[in-house]
Amino acid sequence: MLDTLSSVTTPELIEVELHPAGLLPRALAWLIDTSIRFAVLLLLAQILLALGDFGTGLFLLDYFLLEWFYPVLFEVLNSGASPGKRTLGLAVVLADGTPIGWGPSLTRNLLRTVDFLPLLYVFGILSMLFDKEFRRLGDIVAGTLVVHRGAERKKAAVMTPADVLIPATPMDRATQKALVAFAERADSLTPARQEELAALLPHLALAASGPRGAGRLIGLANHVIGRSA
Amino acid sequence: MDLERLAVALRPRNSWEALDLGVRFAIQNGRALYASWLAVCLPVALLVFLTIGYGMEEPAWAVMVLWWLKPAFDRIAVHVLSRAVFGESTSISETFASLPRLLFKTGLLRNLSIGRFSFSRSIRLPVDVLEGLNGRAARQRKALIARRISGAANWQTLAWLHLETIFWLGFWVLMLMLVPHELLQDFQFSTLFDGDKVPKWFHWPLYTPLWLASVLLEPLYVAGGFMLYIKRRTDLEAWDVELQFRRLAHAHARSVAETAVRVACIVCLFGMTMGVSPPAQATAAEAREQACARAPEVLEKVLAQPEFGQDKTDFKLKWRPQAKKQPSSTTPEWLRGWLDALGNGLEVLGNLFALIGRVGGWFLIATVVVLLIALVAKFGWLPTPTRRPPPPSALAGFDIRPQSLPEDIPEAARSLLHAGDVRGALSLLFRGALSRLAHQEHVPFLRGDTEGDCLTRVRAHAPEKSAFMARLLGCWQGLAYAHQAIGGSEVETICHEWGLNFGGRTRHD
Repeated sequence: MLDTLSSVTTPELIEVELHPAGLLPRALAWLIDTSIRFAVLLLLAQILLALGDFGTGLFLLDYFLLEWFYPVLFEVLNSGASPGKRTLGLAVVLADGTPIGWGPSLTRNLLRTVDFLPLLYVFGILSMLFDKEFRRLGDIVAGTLVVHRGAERKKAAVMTPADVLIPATPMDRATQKALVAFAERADSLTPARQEELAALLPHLALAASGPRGAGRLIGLANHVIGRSA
Repeated sequence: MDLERLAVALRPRNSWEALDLGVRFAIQNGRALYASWLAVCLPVALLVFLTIGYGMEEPAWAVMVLWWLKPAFDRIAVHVLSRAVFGESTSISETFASLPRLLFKTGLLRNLSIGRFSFSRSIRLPVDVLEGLNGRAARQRKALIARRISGAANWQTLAWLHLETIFWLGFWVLMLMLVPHELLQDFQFSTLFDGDKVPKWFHWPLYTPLWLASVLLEPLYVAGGFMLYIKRRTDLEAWDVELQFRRLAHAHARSVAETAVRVACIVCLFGMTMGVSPPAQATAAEAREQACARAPEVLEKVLAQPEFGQDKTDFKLKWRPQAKKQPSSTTPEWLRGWLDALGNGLEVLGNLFALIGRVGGWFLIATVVVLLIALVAKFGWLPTPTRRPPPPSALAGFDIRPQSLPEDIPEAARSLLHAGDVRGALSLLFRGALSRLAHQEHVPFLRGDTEGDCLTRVRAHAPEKSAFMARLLGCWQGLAYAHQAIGGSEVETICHEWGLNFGGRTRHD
């Protein structure tokens, strides 16, 4: 089963799933960040280049600082996300999912020069296309990952009009998860499709009394998430 | 459609993740995908290059024609991917066998004309190729599929457009980097874009890398669109839920069957094994002894595993302070002269830095001072003049405003006592005591204090009155809550002591 997830096991044997982000969202985030930097430099140039050589010197210093420390400062101080990454819902974390520090952040951003070669990140793009976790060379060296931060989607509430039904026998974990997943998605499905799905589980969806079919499954899901009748 | 054979994990994922999964999937199935892809692409390309490129001497136009024909090639990629997603590999001959259907029954003409400029062609393609709809139904279906994912698809198309260009230019920059500098003395980039100055033969190496980049990147683009399509259908039809339900149904059927078998086995065994248990117990005890005997050995084996004890050598760079060399006390003559000469030139700069340093220094000092003040203000290290909050008007259920009390409290209490109202007398005394403590002794009572809290505060802030207050409170609580009878003489004494502690008359202040 192919998936883009990368799972990390904590010492307490808890499995944490990271959602590495691939080429396209990262390219868009880069575009936003580059535009911001360009705009700032343009503004600075208006002011500083009017001051003669001294202003030029300051401008070059600013350029240097923006080029090298814009990503680093945002990554370390802004929980792993530059404005572009934040817009796209991305964040930089260490490979084990912990927050990124100064060392890794500096490493991955200094190695931009390598990723940039020979032109416009060709090496970086190749690396991202072939790496299983979409890392560019800088990420591989620094041991970092760019992940989708809000990847856990917002869960819709389980449908309210259904009753809360208490199952005759206890349900195992897989059953509970499946029922809740079904109930959450139910209002985006056509009634016909709902019944089609419910028919796959006759031992749960059919009963001597009470609602039958999809309504019954949603009622059971209501019980699973702790609603009381 | 058998979802259980699906080679990708089904879960709700956002569009970006679907695109990424597409790229991963294409690379994982790269061999079959690129085999079929190139088997069709290369001969066609060869033909086009021979006719338009060589025959008409326009290699740029040949690349252009091949670019235009992309939707036709894309059908092959979708075909291979749609089979791979259900775990079927596609051989080259199978691809050729299905070519007629792919080319003539999937609306290719439209895709090569109007549809060629659609930015979401990657997600419309799977509908065309895999769902076999026509006319109005096809249009509606494509609109439905594109509804939530067209944004990502548009970005993907834009990105791939740039990607091809970047790879093309990147290839050329890499080539230029690798050519020795001496050979390129007269070379200027601008000549590349000036059609007249570039010799005709140079068009070949100039444009074929662009074609190569597009041929190699296109299957990834198609795969991205295909996974977006799968994502959309998963969302629309809850494929992930269906898969979970199917597994649950299987598990249920299996467990029902297993239960039946188990019941049968138990019934059989019960009949056979009546009273034959002691040997089993004996073997269990033996096994246990053996395990105990082997324990140290096993323990050593476990400890030898890399998770346990191991030696690790760590290297760390550490700064080693060296003995400072004494600087020579006198500046050599030559250096002094040189410095003098340089000094004039650097003076302006030096003054500037000095100014910056001075201003910066003052700024730093000001910052520190401001920070200190802010800290002090925040944590209140300066003793701030405390304003006493006014005492509450009621305490433990008693109105303790001085205005509400008679002027001579002991006297009023005595008269109440003589009238036989012991409870009224004690309550008045207690209320009066609290009022005096709050307004004259400035004991900081709070509005919600209970009688016990009041006593604690009196002990802390007016210890000389606390013994009397304890006694008064004891009497009051005994009377009010425990309904003890308090003797008249006792109350009389308290009245007397009240006068000693708080003085006779209230001063209204």
